[in-house]
Amino acid sequence: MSVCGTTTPASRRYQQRMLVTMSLYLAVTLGVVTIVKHAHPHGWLLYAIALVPALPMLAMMGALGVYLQEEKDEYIRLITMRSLLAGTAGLLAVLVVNDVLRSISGAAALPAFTSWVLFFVVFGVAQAVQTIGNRVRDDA
Amino acid sequence: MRNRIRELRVERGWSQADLAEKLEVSRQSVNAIETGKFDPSLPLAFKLSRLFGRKIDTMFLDGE
Repeated sequence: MSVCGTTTPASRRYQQRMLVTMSLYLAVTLGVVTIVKHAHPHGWLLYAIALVPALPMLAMMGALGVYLQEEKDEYIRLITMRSLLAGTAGLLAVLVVNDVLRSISGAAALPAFTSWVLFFVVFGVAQAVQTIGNRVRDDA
Repeated sequence: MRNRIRELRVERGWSQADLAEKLEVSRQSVNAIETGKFDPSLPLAFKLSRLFGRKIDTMFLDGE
């Protein structure tokens, strides 16, 4: 992760961890889909298998937490924390509006993984906005 | 909070990158401090104090 165009030792380790967890997620999801398609598990076994791809996704959240603990540059850490707050707020706002629409007007639920994608999109946009707001001149 | 970090840095002929290296922070952090977008923590303020050889209250101006 590069914050404000800066890569720190902690952010390099974060990138490595994210690469591992994302690769794991893709491999596990592919495996689970194949198993469900061909072996047709059901009942508690199906639930147990379906939960497996969630583990690397949770590990991604854990990697963010570890990054915040490891980041020594306090300004970069602040930018990341603000971006996480923006991502959380954006996600909650969309979910609560969707919940109200579903309960009152019978609107459909959001597609699967919307919350996951939405969180990281808002997180990324918030980082970009703050990066633009703190551009440094080359001659400074 | 307003401060005199840029002025003190320029007096010594240092670039933002030079100061960032001495403080062991990113250049973006130095820029954010100089422009008043970010107030450093006490440990970082003391580091600046030692580096410039000045008391903290002469570098950071109380925003009256």
